[in-house]
Amino acid sequence: MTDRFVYLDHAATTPVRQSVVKAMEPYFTDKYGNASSPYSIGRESRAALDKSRDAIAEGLGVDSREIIFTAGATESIINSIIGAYLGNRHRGNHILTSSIEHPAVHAVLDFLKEKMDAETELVDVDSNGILKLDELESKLRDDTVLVSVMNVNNEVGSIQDIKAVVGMCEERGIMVHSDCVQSIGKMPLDLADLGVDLSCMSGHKFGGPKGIGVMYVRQGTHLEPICEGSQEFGFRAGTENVAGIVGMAVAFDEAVKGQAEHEVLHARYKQQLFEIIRDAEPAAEINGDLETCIPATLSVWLPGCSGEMLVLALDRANVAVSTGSACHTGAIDPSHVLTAMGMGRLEALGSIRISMGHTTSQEDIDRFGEVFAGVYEQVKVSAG
Amino acid sequence: MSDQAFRNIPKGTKILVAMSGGVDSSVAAYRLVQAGFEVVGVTMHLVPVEDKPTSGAQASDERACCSIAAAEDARRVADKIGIPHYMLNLAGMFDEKVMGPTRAEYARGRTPNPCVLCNRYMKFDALFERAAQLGCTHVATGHYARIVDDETGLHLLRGVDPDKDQTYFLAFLTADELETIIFPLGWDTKASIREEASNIGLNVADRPESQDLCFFTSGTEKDGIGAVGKGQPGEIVLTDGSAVGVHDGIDRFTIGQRKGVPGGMAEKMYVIHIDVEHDRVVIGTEKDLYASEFTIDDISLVSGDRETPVKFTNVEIQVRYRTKPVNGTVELLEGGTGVIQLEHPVRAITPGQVAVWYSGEEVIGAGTILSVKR
Repeated sequence: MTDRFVYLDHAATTPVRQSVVKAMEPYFTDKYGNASSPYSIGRESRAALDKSRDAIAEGLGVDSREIIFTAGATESIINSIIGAYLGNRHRGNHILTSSIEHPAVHAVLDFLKEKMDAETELVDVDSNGILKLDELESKLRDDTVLVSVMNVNNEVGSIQDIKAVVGMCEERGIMVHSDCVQSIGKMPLDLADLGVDLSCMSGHKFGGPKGIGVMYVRQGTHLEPICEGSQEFGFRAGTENVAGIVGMAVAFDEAVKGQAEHEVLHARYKQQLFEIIRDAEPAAEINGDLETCIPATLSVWLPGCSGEMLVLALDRANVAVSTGSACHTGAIDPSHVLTAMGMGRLEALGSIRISMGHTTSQEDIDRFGEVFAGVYEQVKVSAG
Repeated sequence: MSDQAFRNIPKGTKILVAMSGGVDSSVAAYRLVQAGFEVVGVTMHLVPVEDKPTSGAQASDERACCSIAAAEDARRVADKIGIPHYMLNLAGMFDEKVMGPTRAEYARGRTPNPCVLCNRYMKFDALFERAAQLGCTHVATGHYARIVDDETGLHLLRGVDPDKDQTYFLAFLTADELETIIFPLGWDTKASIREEASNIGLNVADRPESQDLCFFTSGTEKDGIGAVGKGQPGEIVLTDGSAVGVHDGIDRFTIGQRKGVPGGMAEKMYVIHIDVEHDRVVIGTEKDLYASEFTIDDISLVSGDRETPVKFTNVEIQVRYRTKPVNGTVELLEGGTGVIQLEHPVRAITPGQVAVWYSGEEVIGAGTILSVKR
């Protein structure tokens, strides 16, 4: 395969920035100390940890003590949701979440329901993938302890009005968890301003390494530690992944600094991408609404086409995009996000997700334009 | 091994190979790569998988076809032999084309052959389509069968290993379809394939046979697919029509079955006929199970026009997988049905199962058994 490789699946993961690799490198070789050790290289690691924590806290508009490093957003979600539930069990057992959350959130809520007597309920979204706030309000109860609503959806990019969610919950003393995995570098984000109690992010979604993430716990939030230990303010036992943390902090800084510029670029590319797709398939439609979605994510419905086969055929042409969801064997199931937005199961199977990031360039879009129509024709014409 | 399997298909041809994670399809894929084809491996995901962890202490030994473990095996083999591998979600199609018709056939008092349906609609129809979508012109599988071409066209022949020959399941293929199919293993024995897998270091060399693992063949197939329990209660009668008992539904019976048949008779009694119209199960002796004439429909010929009435004489007819074929004649009638006469009676010819007729090693045609003359 000599064709240019085009990567348009940044919502899945991103290439690690060169600056990040460079910043991490000494912490594998020279500065390998355990951050809990008292001697020189231990203190060095501790200092790097503190500095990284400060930088991320500042970028999110919060206090350093509110930032807990984990192995990624999924771990953050498990610890924060289960911890918040156990820590507030005396106040009730009712939890609300959106129908379009990442499976990590739905899985934890299923666990609480099956094993720990939680009562969980989904709140619907409209056809653009925006949470129905009136439905949320009507479902809040005296025994509701937690509401979990993602900031930006991973499949269609729809942005939720988290401030409004917080507004409803705050006065009732209900905690709010908001998954911010897809927000970093894609839109301005100030956690203090949003007012959420709990949040999470993953380093690898914005140019950092895999296996490192953040759990945000607002001061005063009562959380039962699930993985109790001496590290990370008692909330996350285990030797800190110093290199990963340093790398994530550098990636975070660059992602935040480049955010405004990338947002403009991505909006332009998104328009071009949709035009390329429309030229090949005039009936194609965007899932969600341009106004209420981040520019970096484009989810498109191609009527009558198999999204699964289109993704695989594009791979044969060295272009990486996604359907947005996959079951555990790797085969594709209808997206719960698209079905929640009102699409039928068959319709939902006819969508692809194209997502951009810090390395996406005009050349990528142009190459996509060169191959898309031919590949689409092959998939469509061969379909029985 | 033999290059005959690759006919004169040029090197570099793009080929989609169906990989179950088992030894046969793994060696088939390996051979295609060795022969210089551009190979893409796919594993079909046909039934919903249990949503349970499968690693470490919780892992079970079961490696049913379509399981996560089987998909993992296929992925690892693909990686080892250096080809891309994809999972294809065909669960919806499998339900529509295989499970649905299988349930419907049971409800009609017939005993369908889901393996034939699966081979026909999933292994081939679906694969042809997916292959074209991925830019492949040919489809390959690990079936033990041979495709040979001569001046008269393409022919489907039994695999050389008599214990493994799978042409019974492939008999619905037409010469046009054979054009785009490759069976790399047809000239080999199972033992030699296992040995080859072991020699090339495929970790699947000692995996159990995939057909023994398919959920359909686990012995509880009827229950497993929810095919039982929809029938009406009715009478169990003798061949003279006299009632000797009652049953809970014809879908619980198949020809040759003893379970559910009243005891206390002078001889062992078996289900010999299912009378759908009157919801009756007819029982008889071992001798009553034998028949030598039956009708077929849903006919397919490898070559030639199945609409034109024709009589095949001196062919060998097989009414189920892995049984000795019996000489006889097949007469195709107008309207898409046919009559098969066997030279000597065969036990438990079962409506819904498939009859395949051969001329020597070559598959001529196939049809679904409609009714048996007694």
